[in-house]
Amino acid sequence: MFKTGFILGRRDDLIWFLLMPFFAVAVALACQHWLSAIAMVSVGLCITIPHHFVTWLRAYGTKEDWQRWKLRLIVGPVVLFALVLAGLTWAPWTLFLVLILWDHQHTIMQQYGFARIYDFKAKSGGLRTPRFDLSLFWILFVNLFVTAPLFTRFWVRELYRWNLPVSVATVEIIQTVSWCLTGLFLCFYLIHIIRSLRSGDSVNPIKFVFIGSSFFLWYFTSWHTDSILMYGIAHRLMHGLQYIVIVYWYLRRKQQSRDPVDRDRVAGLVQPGKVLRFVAACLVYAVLYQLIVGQPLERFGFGVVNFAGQFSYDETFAVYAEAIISFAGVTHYYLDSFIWKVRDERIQEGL
Amino acid sequence: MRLLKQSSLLLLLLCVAIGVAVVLEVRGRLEQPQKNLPDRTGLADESPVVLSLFPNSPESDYIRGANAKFLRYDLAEARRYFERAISTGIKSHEDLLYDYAVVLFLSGADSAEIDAAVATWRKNAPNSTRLDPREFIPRFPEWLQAGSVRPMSLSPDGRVFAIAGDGGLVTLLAPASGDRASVVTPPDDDVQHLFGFATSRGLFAAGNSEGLVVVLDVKNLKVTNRLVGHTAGVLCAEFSPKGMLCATGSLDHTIRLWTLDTDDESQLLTGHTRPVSSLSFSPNGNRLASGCWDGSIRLWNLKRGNLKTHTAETVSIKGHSAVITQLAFSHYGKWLASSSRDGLVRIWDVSTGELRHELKGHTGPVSAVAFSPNDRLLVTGGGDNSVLIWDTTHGKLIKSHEAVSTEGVSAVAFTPDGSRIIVSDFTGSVGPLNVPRQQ
Repeated sequence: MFKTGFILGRRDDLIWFLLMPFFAVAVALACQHWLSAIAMVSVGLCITIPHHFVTWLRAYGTKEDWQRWKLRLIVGPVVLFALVLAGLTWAPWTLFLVLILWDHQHTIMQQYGFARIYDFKAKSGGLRTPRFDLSLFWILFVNLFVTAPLFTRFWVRELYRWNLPVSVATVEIIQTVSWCLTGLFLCFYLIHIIRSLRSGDSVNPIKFVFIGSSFFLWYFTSWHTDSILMYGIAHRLMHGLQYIVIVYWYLRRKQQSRDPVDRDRVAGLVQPGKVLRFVAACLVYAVLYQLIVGQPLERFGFGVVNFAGQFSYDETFAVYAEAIISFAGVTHYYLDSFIWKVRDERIQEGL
Repeated sequence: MRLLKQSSLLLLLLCVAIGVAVVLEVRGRLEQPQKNLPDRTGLADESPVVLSLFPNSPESDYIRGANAKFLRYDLAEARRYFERAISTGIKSHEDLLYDYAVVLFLSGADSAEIDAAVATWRKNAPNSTRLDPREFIPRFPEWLQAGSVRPMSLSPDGRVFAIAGDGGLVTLLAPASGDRASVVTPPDDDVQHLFGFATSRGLFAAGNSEGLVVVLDVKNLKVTNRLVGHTAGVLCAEFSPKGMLCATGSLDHTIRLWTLDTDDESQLLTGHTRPVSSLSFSPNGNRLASGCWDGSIRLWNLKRGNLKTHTAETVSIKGHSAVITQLAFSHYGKWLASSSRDGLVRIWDVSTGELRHELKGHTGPVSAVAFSPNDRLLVTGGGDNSVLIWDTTHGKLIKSHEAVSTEGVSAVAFTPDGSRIIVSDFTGSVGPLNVPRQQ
């Protein structure tokens, strides 16, 4: 009935996946208490920028993936860069909205992907489990956005900015409907689990602990803080660190499964016992990125989270810098959309 | 097949999102807010909704504090709310940290407290383009009021100057003769803001933060009209050249055209997406120019200068990056001059909407602009305490009067013979300047 399975191992999963959200919330609370806003932004960026870097390692670092997705890996970024430049030139706010929507979709898909890995490791779940899990993530996240005080203020403000005013009663109706739909879906989800168990499928309880701890972070920070920055710090810590960890272990396992002569150049960064080398590479990339972009820290990363209230597009914000920032983001989202298919046997080898 | 379906669904959602965003962008609904000056005053439209939904949040306390500061000028109450919001530990709310420092400065708090508040704001928003309130406030006191409301007003011919006083008292001064007269508006109207004159009919408009506009008869010193219609404070009012129409611009983002003979009748002009801060009628009364907090300008066709026959056809002009503080048509109606908080003055071709000259010279926001009677000169005044005189043909600066005031120039006007410029500042001082001999 219950089969446990871990992504990395019992101890590592506890640290990086199950307790990480609680650690991230604690760090965010500490940052909120002791650091200035700009310093908090830099904490988030120290994680976010390296988490882009490991995507490049993951996608372009192995010959196997390069040969497999050569066309996508070359053409995709070129097309995206052209689209980013076009967007910045002719429709900066459209580009901005697309980035935000894609960022949230990417966030949901990452946590969903980890849930899939848990089922894969434990060989649990039925045929319909992936679809139910994906729906669960979307519904809980959308409900968070619609009902949490932190986000309600943002979307109400944006609606007013777009000349679509909503009354208090309308907001309350929208939130009530959201809670009802969420509750209804959770009932369906529970029924699905019961039916799966009755039909002989097993369930990995670690997966549910993982889902619960992830949503604890999002719900706790967006219900108990009025600072988008604190939410952002906690979210970026969890999202970024978990991603960096899974890429590190994926590449390490992949390289170790090969003969030393067949290993890729990236193998030097993920050798057992040389984790500091990997961390140093990430930090060097973050520094280089900051130097290339040459913009104040608050201008990227959290400019997106803070949406229109703080975002400023003026002459001093050089187009090239914004192009690099946007390009790094969309390329990361794009690459992640096909390099992490858990059902893919070649990817399963590294998990 | 399932993968294809999922991909198609995602692609469809993405296309819909992009489509909506493009439509919104094309319709100008996604324009960015101005960040560098304190135009987010807690008066935002959604504030009542936020207050009802989250009454105990720091954001609600900020809104209450901002309302106390901007609408009632109750600094003690504003300070109390701001301090309560700050005590929650919120650091990412730059408006809150900045406005708190401003309120401390205005209320004459201990200098150590003010320095600490400014330091907190600077520490949390080191890249902010806002000015240090300790330097900013003494120079530009007008911005401490809601929007670009002016407590004083100078008639277009420079002959009469009005000052708002306590208890609805409006004092009218004639700088040339030194004559002074006062008129008291009805107590319930609580007039706080003065707007503009209709020289031809001897009318003057004043208003309050509730949206009421009263029209005063300067000669007979009495209230002739009470214009009720705006749902938020009125920021500007102008009379048509013959004084038959009065246009008012408001925080509610709209313009209303009033026929003064039937003051209950007004025509609503919509299109701006931020509060309307400045208005000007063309000399023949066929056009109305309106300036907005977002830096945009609209030209409205008013065919016969008549309320019934006006059309909603507009020309939209964009160029300024901050609040339009004043608009002025040239006397022949060919050009429109605009001054803005972005420190620039622009002269536009009215028929095409194209930029004719961009005048750079002020070192701070520009608050006043006026054409000479023959349209050859343009005078501008600003928060940098200077009055600049420009050649309108070539767009060149021909005379600069520095340090005209210590508190910022609030209004400028040429005398009817064009020999002098009347300048007023935010302390209520009025004085003349000589106009350089034209070549």
